[in-house]
Amino acid sequence: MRSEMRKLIYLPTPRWTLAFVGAAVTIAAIVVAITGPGEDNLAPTFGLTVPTWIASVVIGVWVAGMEYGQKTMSRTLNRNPDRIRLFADKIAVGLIAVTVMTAVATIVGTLLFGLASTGHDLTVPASEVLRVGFAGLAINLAVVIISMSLALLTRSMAGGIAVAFGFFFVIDSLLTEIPKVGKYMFSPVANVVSSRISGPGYESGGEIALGLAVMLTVAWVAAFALAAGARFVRSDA
Amino acid sequence: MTALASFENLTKRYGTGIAVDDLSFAVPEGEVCGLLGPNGAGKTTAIRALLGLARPTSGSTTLLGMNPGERGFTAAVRNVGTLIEGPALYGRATARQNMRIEADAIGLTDPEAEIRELLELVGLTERADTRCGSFSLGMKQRLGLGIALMGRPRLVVLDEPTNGLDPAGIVEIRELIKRLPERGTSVLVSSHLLAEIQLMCDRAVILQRGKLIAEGTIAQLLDGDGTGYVVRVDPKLTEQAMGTLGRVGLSADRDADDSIVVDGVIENGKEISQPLAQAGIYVHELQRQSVDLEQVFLRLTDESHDESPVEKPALAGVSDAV
Repeated sequence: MRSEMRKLIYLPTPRWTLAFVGAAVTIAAIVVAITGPGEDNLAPTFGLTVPTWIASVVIGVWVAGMEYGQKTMSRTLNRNPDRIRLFADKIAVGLIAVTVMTAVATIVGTLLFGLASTGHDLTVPASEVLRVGFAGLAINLAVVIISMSLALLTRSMAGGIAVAFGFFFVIDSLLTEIPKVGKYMFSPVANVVSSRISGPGYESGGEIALGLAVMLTVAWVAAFALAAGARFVRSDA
Repeated sequence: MTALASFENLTKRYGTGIAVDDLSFAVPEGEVCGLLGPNGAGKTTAIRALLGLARPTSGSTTLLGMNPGERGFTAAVRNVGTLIEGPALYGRATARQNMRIEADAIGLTDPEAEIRELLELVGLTERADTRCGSFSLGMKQRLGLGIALMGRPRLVVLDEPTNGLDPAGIVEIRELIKRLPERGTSVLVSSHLLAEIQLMCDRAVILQRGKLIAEGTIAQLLDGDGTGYVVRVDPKLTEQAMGTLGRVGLSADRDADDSIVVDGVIENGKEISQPLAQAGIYVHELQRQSVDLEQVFLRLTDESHDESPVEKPALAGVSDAV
């Protein structure tokens, strides 16, 4: 675990990802300062939810995929051949990274959006940004595990990124269009969870109950993690 | 002598292809053991199976007394340093950071002194805080070796450790590897560079198409191949000298330049010079034919191309003796 945390600190991708999120929050605050926050909740959505979601995909793929990209998986396994333990360590590191990143972005966003909206008719209340940030965190934790699983399934950094974005943007959207069962796919259920936490103004129009949505989100995460874990544990490094 | 690593009838297939075929040998403690074979001979696959990175199709491997997957293998493998399939480094991290990552992986609590020592040992002190992505292949190899030595392992497994090194670097690494048993670290080193194995190893295992074709100490492998002598006498007496040597049971053939080639296992030159002197033939020159591992290897691999893999009798004897 300490070794995995060192990689998170020493290697640049997590820092660049955090910088990307910081830039997105800052740009959103500048836009709010110039134009005002408006009535569409765009600042928390595009300044916080979307960038931390993208960052979670990148972090999730990176945690596992960089070992294949740098050809270091054999080295990592040489001194730590307990693959289940390593898999758990990598999940833990991904969850920690995404929690810290989303929390920092939420705190900074709360301050910047509040300051930026000063002097405009509408404001961005701190409580709203905090709720949106917390909702984003709930989804990002699921996204980071799914993304890491896809990197382990493809055994590649580039392949993991391509498949992860392909899954979230294309495959999942197509599955959502299937009558009757589409509402049980990952995006619709995650949106239900997110919108209920975010509160008024962020309704997603989901057709299923919150409890079922939470269970289905967990089931999606578990399905990906089990598939990736089985492949990782059973196959040659 | 305790075996730190052993292969017992290891076979590894990939689809219909066979990478390692019924391989059995042991790596004794306190020695540098070479795994020799051309590219594709199965060296890396055998090493990966030993480290638990590839599952055997049949047979088994043991590392510090543990089979991969067995409870206790994790603890055992932390006493084994590796450098396989090239140096596996985090290119955007510095040399020192790469070593810290390794130190954490094996659970060292205060590794800074050892990191300094190892950086000095592999000659990278000056570049310790440079990102290793900018290193030459030779520097990466040296750093990889330094990382493999973290935690003073009982065994290091090195796959082609001199790849990419310049001649001075090769000598440096070779001398370092030869000294490792003095630090309490035994070595299993694979290479297709025959001269390297001959110069740095105490013993060698020769693989061809996944099969073990010879095994023994370097001296056994060379002697088993049959060393001989080249003898020069007065050209007018060459025929007489050959007859004299034949009468004492030595196989003597005339070479193109009128020298005599005496084959067989000969303890020392006296066995040749004495009968010739007694026959009144004075030896002008007596030179031991130096057979190197390359010749042994080429002969063995040539045979295994010609026939189904069969051990040469002399080398089978060597194999039995180990």
